Amino acid sequence: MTSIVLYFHVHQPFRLRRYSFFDIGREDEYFDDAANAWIVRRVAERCYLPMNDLLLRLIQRHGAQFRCAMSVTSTVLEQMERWAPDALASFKRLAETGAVEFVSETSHHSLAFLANGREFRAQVRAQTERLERVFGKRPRSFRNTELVIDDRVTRVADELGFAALLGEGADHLVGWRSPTSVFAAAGTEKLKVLLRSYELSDDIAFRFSNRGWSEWPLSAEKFARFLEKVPEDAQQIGLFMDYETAGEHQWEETGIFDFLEAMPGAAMASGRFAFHTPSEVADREAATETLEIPHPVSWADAERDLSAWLGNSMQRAAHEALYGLYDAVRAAADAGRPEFLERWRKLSTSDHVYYMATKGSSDGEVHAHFSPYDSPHEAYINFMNVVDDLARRLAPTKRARSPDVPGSTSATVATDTPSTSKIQSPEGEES
Amino acid sequence: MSTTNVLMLGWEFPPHISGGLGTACAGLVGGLSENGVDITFVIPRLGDETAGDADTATASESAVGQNERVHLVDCGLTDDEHEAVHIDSALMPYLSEIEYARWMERTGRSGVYGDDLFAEVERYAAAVEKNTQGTYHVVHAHDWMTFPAAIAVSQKLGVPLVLHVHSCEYDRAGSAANERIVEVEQRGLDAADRVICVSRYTAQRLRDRYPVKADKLRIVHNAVAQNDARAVEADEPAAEAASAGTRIDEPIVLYLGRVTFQKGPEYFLEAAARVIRDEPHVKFVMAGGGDLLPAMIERAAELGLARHVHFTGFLRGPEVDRIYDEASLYVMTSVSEPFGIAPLEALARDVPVILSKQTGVSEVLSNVITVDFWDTESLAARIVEVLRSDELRTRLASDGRADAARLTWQRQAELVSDVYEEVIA
Repeated sequence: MTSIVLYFHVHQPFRLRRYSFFDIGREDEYFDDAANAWIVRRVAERCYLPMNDLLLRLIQRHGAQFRCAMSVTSTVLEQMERWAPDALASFKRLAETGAVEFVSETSHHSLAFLANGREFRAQVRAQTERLERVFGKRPRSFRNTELVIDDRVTRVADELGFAALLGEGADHLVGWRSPTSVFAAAGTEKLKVLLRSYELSDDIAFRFSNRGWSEWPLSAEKFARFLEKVPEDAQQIGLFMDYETAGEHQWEETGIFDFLEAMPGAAMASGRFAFHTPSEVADREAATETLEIPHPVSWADAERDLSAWLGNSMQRAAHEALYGLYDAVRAAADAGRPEFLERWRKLSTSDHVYYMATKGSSDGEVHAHFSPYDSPHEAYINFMNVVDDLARRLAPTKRARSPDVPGSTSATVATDTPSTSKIQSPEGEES
Repeated sequence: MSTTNVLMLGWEFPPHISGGLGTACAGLVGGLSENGVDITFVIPRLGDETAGDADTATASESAVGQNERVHLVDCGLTDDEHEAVHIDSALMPYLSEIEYARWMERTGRSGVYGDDLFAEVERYAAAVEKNTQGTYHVVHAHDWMTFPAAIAVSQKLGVPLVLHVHSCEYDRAGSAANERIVEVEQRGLDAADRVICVSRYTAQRLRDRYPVKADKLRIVHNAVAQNDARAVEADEPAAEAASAGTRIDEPIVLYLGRVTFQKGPEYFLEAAARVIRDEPHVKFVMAGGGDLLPAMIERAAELGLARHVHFTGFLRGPEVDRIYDEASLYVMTSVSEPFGIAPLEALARDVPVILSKQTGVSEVLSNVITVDFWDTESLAARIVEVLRSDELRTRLASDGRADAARLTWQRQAELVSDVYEEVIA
């Protein structure tokens, strides 16, 4: 018996409004509520509502045999609470069936694990608690932002008690092994790592509507034949994709909904496959291989690394500037001004640096497709203006520690301004 | 003959300008009309609005004329003594060969406009020649794209030709000068009866780089329209203006101009990097668009200036005023600037300036600090000194403003009128 792990990622970022240099110090609304509301409502209508109904039908039809998993970020949860409560209610109905496992992650879809261990853990805890609160069950599985895994992520996931971790079955990670194995991770105790079978996943997520693809059109039966080709000893097949694949990336007219509705039945017809959630697989299967992951692996772009978010100097500068404010944001929160932390976290959503990518080729097109900006440079300027404004608003509480130093990515922030400075500045009137 | 009638081939009036050329044309036309000169102003302009960018909201259009490609319009200046003629063309100030090719590719306008920039320049020349009638005493044209048209129309009308050089190809592109543009410029310089240069710097450059007879050359510096600043300021809500001075406490060092090779933006960034080592609270603002903008944004990030340099893109009237209001110091790092009007605008708004020595405007300003554009170490030192000294800042601003005030378009237009008289006589 080979398990099929069907997992969907549900996320929307809080897109920024156009925030010019002249808005700094004047305008304290960073986010484009109108655009964010409009987009989440559109996605709810095109994807969340019809897909949730579809999954409910599958659960009714196949009973205990059909299982799937989902991660729903805090940012999209908040957006649904505010602007698409009907969609949120339908996710809750899915949760009530018990057939859908909700997978934890960073609350704000951030890259915190790269920059700040404390914030990473804090966001994971916040997300775990929120999912438990909203959906009534404590998550037992974890996925990091953009499926990024490395040895640090596996250790923290293990330490936080997760049974399963989802990752990308990238060639350079898997090597001679098969992504269909259940993996242990070096230096962890109980954690099992389930990898994405990217060929099969992308047949659905990317190639489904591509008329130039030799396998087009893809039917449920044809996909079942692909599954049958997976070696007999496979423990699990990870079909991981964005939820928005259905209805957004692949429009309804492509037949994606019909395909997804028919696929589980077709896959189970031979009796070889069963659908399981990640934690069910972790409970059922023993790890047969061990992963060591010294360099981060993600599910994005051809490189399957971090270059989608931190590949150029603008992205790195933006990332560093944001995390350079972290201590001040924390200090403000400790001093009774938690609103700064929430804003900072919305800025920590990785989409903001993703928009700044300067890749050419087909990956560049994918970046441009998702971006609300005309160019990566515009995305960078807009983001940096907002970061500057946030830094200014934090100034009264940050003066004591003076973290206004570029390039500081973590708690190690310079403690003093250079004593040679004679030009007046916000921090100029040192005590 | 009592009134001089001038057919002027120029560029768009503000606010639809992409640099100093349109501003200078507008100032000069205003000054000449005060001197009793009648001007018909010819501007290239896209004939169909769907093509975008080049509309002219300044002009209230009342099309007359037989040929639909010629628009006679009230150009919105202070009197009725002159008119603007719009010739349907894709030319724009500072357009490069590559930008033109991209524009053609994007809009697919081949067949309507020239296949490349040079073909379009020649097509424009033919259109101007064909569509221009009337009695003029002189043809006066501004910068290379209008030179072939000016030559053609001056020959057709049999009147003298005055060319006005605001910049030459070697200023704009340095050693990467486009040979074909140089050729067009040379053709103009050969055909012209007089060549007005915006500075001694430019006159020298023309003599060094192009064979041009010295006795053709005349120098007329640009001026700044003194009342421009106040006119737009009135549009600003009072509260906005009041808060402007306080929202950013750090001193702001301003670069305002096109972000192109000619303006030396990378030297500004290098100086910024040097300054913030000693003065981490100084903010640098690079205001303007241009082909080097993306590269400069990336460069600033590489230099670790992400939190210290802000980019605003191209600014329009009220935004220009706001940025001057907030700036503590204006810096012009041009590699080769025939004139450079922006420092005068800065001074008119009480902002002290530091200029590169490779600028024509430094010839008319005795109370400014100048440095060689490549000497970013000195530039950084001067920036810090000016910012640290209230006294120095105040003196530079007030003395510089006095220098700038001596230059008016009315006075500079008199010098241009003198040139007309020379050639008409």
